[in-house]
Amino acid sequence: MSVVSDIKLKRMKIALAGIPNVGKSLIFNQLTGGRAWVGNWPGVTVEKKVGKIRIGDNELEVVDLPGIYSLTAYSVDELVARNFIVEERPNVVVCILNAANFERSLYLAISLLELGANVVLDLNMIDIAKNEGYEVDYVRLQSILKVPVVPTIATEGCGIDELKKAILSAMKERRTYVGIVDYGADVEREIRRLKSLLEELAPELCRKYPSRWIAVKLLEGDEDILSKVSKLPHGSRMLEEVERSKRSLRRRVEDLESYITECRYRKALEIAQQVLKRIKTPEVTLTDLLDFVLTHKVLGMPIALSIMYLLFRFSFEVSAPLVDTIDIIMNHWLHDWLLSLPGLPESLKSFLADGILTGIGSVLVFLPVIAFFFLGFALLEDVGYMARIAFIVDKIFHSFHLPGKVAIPLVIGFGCNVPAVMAARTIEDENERKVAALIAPLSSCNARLPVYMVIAGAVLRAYAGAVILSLYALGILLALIVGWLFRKIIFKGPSTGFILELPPYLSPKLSNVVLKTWERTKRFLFKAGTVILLGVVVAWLLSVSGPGGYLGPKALEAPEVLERSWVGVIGHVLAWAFAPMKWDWRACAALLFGFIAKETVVGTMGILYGVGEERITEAIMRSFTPLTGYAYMAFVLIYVPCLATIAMIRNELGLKYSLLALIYEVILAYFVALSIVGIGHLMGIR
Amino acid sequence: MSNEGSRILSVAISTSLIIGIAYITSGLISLYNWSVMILAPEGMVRGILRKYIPGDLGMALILLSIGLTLLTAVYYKLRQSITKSFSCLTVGSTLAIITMSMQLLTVLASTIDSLIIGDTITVESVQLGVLRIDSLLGYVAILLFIMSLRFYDKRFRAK
Repeated sequence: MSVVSDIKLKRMKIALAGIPNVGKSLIFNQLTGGRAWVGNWPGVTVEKKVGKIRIGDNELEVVDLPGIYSLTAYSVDELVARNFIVEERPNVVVCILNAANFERSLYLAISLLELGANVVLDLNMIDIAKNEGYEVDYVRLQSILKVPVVPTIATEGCGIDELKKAILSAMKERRTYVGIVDYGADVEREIRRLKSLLEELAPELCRKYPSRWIAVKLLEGDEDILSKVSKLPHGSRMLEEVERSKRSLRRRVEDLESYITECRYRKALEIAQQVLKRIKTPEVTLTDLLDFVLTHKVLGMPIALSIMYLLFRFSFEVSAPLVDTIDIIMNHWLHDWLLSLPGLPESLKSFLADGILTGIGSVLVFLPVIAFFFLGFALLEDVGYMARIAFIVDKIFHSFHLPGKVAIPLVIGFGCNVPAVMAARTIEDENERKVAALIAPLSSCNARLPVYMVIAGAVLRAYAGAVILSLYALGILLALIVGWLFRKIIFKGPSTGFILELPPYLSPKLSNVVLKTWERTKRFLFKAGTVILLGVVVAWLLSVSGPGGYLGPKALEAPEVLERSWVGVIGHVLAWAFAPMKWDWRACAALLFGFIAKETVVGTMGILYGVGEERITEAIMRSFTPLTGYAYMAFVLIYVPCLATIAMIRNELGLKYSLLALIYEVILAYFVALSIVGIGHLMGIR
Repeated sequence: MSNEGSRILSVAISTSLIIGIAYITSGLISLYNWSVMILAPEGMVRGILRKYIPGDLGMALILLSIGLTLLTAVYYKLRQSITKSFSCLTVGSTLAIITMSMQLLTVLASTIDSLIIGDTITVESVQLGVLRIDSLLGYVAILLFIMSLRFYDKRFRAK
């Protein structure tokens, strides 16, 4: 162990690390007063979040890293976390341990200590451990690991002040404990040999990483470190020495990588045995009781579908009074008031009332539905049920050659496809990760809801709820089929196993649920004020002008004039392409604007049909039959989610894959819509 | 297990059997009503108790799920798996109460909505909403839920 004095505290960096669902985001919020999303399920933090705290003269930058189990280079998250700790050199790494899942958390803490990080251990969830019948002797743990240990209950804010104090004192007195694991005499001898060679041949790398850690990683066959060493001037010599060490060890250790992992686990277990105290006989917890049914192989799936159906009822039916209130205000009072304003030119009145207000109004009326959906979703997240859904579907996913972890991006996609694509990062296997990011947009996000509601409400009336649910199911089914095809044709390889921490069921925290609902709803509002506003303005401009010049606001009232507008021209071209589906040219034109954001489809429809939310129903009833309406909704579900999602796929996978996503989604959407109409006709449905 | 705990569970399981069958029957009727609405030309085939058990695929799914869970509780009790039986009882009754609450919330929202848009509110529409099968069975499920809570206290908290 080494102790280094460091008294310059002015601008310091702290990293929060921990296994998934250990409460990192909650502790991040408690420390920084931040508003990071907290979810009672793994994979909430998919990229690092940064916040600041001031303690006295010290300004501390706190970085919340993604949840990881170890510091291998197998998954993007683990590599991101490891590189951050190595390259950014945070002054303190707060490793959050789950007292209720102690051994696994300890493995990560040991890995961090080996990396030479200045670690403070936060022993979180001590209340849950207590309920489960045991206690962690944190004083003893402190003396074994020789680093500060602070017990906390993050959900109640207990121990946070003590944690802040421990961080401050750790910054003053840096402690490292790289030799915490003893790998046995033979391996230790080779580690020592490689360590001294590294210090001699690769001094610059040893300034970055502890030389002992590099030696262990080289023996483990860590690809990232091997590639770094190979690029050094004496890289090839060093790699030869590593091979020599491996050859000499092969006689005693069959699989060196597994042996090293085992040694760390053995150490974690040994420490756990010393510090874990059984305080009462284990009893059946509420989580065990609920999980027996909720993750049951027969009952689990119908219950999950029932809960999803209830969520939709809550979103659509309970929010109805607010929907109508907004509709009355936007599309009646404000619309009529704007049109009655004296002294304004007719074209400006039309632009404000028929363009901006009608367009934005027909989107904003869905704000309550979306807010209620997010409220229900946040409740399910906080209770811990979302992780169970991923667990339930694992078996189904495996039959499609996809890991159960793909369920996480797909479920996140119900909210928004952009974070869903990012959530694919938690998948270790590269091929599976790419497939997950490419199929995530097929999950029906909330932006599609307004389109479903308007069309299903108009042409499928009493069946609207069931029809909308079927679209969500169709999205998941298509995601599975497309994923299976991708795995068979492009991204071949064996399907990996699925390890998911099932968090304990917790009572939802009101402030957290409200915060999450607001943050997510705010995005929709922001979109309404920016992208959708822009979309409807463009739609209005293209509606009142055409190849023959300016047509004026009368175009919105006279269909024959509107047909001569730019939108009319585009709509007719698209209607030709969609002729087998028998969609109205206005509906086809609206699809084009949906490329920007799906909500714009409804806004554009409002303008093109020259009506508000209430009368749009009548207009749609005239334009669609139940069959063509359903095909249209399926098309909206599948074709490009929005520009932001495509941009995110480009960020995550590159231009080639974003183009692949764009092309396959448009083709698939066309094919599915055509099939629906074709099969419907064969069955005699109109 | 104490005698009282055992008695509570026996009563709860008997109730669960009756309510479970009622849920399954209602779920099947709802499924039938839905099929009739979808497949039969309008007015050709009359549904069963359509006012109280509307034909709705989602509702049928929920009613069947609750019924199945409650009957599974009976099955496990017969096999002497008390903990598993209790789990099914708790989840089934909780889901039933959530479903009932959702229906009541919907009735309330629909009444407020009618006030906002100036529609007439009839006693009959409110009555039908409050007496719909998922509400009705939900009221009974409250008893089941209370019994399961009491059993939890006796069996698991008593330790």
